[in-house]
Amino acid sequence: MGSEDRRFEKGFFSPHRLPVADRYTRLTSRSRLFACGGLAGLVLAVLLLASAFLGRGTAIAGAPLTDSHAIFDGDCAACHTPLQGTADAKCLSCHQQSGGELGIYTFARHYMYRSGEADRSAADVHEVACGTCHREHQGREASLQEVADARCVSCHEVNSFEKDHPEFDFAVEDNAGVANLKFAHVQHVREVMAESELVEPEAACLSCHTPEADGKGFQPLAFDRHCDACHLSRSDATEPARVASGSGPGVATLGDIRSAGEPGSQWAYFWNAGEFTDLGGSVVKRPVYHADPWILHNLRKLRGDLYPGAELADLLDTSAEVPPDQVRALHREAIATLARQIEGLRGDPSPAVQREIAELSELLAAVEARLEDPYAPLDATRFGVGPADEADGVATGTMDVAAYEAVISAIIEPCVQCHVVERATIRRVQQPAHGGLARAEFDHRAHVVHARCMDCHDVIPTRELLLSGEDATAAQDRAEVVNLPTIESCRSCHGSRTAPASCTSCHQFHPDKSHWSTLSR
Amino acid sequence: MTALVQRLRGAGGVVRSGPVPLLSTLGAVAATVAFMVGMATGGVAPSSPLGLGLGVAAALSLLAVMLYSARRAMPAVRRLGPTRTYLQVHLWGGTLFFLLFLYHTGFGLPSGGMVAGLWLLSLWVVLTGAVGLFLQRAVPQVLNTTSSFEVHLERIPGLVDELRARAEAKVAESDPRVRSWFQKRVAPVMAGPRVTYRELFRSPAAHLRGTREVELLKCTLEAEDAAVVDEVQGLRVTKHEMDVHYTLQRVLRGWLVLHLPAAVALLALVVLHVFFILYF
Repeated sequence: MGSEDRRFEKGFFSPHRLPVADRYTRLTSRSRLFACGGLAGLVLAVLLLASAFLGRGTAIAGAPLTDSHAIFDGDCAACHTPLQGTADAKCLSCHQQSGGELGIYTFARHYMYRSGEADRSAADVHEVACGTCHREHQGREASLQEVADARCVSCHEVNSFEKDHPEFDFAVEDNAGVANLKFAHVQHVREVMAESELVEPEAACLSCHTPEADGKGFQPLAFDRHCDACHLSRSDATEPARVASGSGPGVATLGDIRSAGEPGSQWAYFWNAGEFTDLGGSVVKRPVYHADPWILHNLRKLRGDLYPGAELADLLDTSAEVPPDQVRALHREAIATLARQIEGLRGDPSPAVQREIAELSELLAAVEARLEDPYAPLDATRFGVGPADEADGVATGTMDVAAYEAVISAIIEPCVQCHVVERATIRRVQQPAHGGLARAEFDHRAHVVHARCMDCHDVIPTRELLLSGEDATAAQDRAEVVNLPTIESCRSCHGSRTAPASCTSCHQFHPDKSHWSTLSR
Repeated sequence: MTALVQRLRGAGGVVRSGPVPLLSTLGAVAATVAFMVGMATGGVAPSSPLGLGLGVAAALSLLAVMLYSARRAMPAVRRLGPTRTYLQVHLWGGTLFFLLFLYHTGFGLPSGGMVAGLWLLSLWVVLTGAVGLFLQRAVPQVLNTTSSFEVHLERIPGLVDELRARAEAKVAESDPRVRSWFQKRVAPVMAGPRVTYRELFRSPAAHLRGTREVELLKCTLEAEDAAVVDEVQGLRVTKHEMDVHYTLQRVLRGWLVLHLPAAVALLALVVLHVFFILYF
């Protein structure tokens, strides 16, 4: 057997052919492995680039677009601009149309939240692109409104709801002494429960606080709807009040008012004279009503004697204490009174009255025109009653002020059960300056399933006082106490382990759809 | 063999020391803290600033890891430091890459072809890398305990050839029954190196000791021929050990087939990923 044969058939006992050694040991070289990997990468690159620029881009996109944007699936250029990402202009090309000229989807407008304050905006120093917060390609079912807290806190100096979310405005505002109403919650709850034989104090709450349809707030409280059932019954009467005569201050009787025929006193012609009891030099009215015209008429009359400089106050039923945003409404209230007075005078044919009607109408038109101008400065203090309006006799002591006050006290005796009267004027009841959560969403319906009213509204310890039978102190329970929960009350449930506590749980970046029409005005 | 194991153990010691492990650990701790803070404040998305930062860090880690392979072909890279530093960067950087990658994705499952590809390749490369690391540590120990000699993979075919020649020489002048036994039972085994996964963990001596056929054969032979059979059996045991070496050393070197191409493809996909992010 020659050497050539042994190269291919080693071993004469064996039929096995032995290949050369490197056939056994030659492993794939590194460069070949690199080449394989590079080739695989190249194939992947070609496929992905083809998908991106020739196909629908589904290979490089993440999850599908949300339902709202599903129509753009496969049309990358509808939202993406090469090397610029998702420019806001592409978003606004559709969404700005919905928002109108106000641009409710612009970043600056996001401060409106859902407060509906269309003129509220902020500088766009922190402006980011829409897509920064509204993440797409999260799947059909994803919500674009679910903004991660990280996005919110990147601008807002709040780390988390549990730790450093600021306290609610209404909890930090000082509302002391502004209600002008004598009202105690605990006393009312106790009486309503007894009257209606209620077991649950929450039922007493609901007898006055009627939830709005949206579940967020409650219908405004009004005497006719919420107080009338108990207060000012037919047995309530004024104290005997001295009838006016030449010898001192006093009230005008119904007959006096009818005969005087002053503007705004037409009610007297239709009033039931049987409600008045003549006691010989003094008069009693029974029953009395809320905003009783006889009482108000005489209050104006007596105030006119004491404060002749406060003529404009007669155009209002109560004092002129209103917050700045209601000054315009105050003027409209005065105008309405004046308009009624003018209407009452139209039946008098005398030339003097007709001239007065013409002058008043002209004045009325001028004031109304002024109110239409949003930039016209308005001064509510002109309707007020102050020391400067006092009669000379008050300052010099020639007028018997005590006698006036006695008469006033007699006729307003039913009123002062709840109201505060000062300078012969019923002080206007002040609503809380806040409207609850102005910039956050809250739905009572979602909360009453888990908690009762007093679990959260515990600033006034109503439940404890009801159980103990004790009366609340004046400091605890008065109209000025805002019985709204602090943020700590919310934190007892809303946290990382219980109820949700993300920013968007309560705050909405953009206005609600239902506010579009309002905002567009 | 012992020397090889000691060298490998030494390499392991090198892996655990020096600035690279410390820096990698610090990087991992920093990334974990950032991720935890991000999760506590609303979550970490790949496109969020934190997610982007983690993604960039992961891409840079991958590039650093690839320097280990680049140093073989690129002298400029080779001059940056000793091999052990590259190995440290490769191992620790690879671990850090996967951690940063998971943080970058927020532990979210992949959606879409490209992201799924990145996910799978990253997972595959890291897993095969871990397997490779395990093999680098385990194979020498296995060889050390199961084999009585050390041998270089490239020399095994030649040595097997030599073993077979020696066996053939001994059998050539022996009894025909010995030659027949050799041709039927031994020659196929001695033909060349074999991959023997099944026999890997069995002692070759124990395997042969109980071979009744050989014992019966020896009973029928003269003492001189019986001695030839024993010598051939000894050569056969040596060949079996050669096969164990051959098998394990091929595994040790062949593992790269699973790791390296996938790593290169992953790098290509990461480059594409960055391009698409910047472009769109």
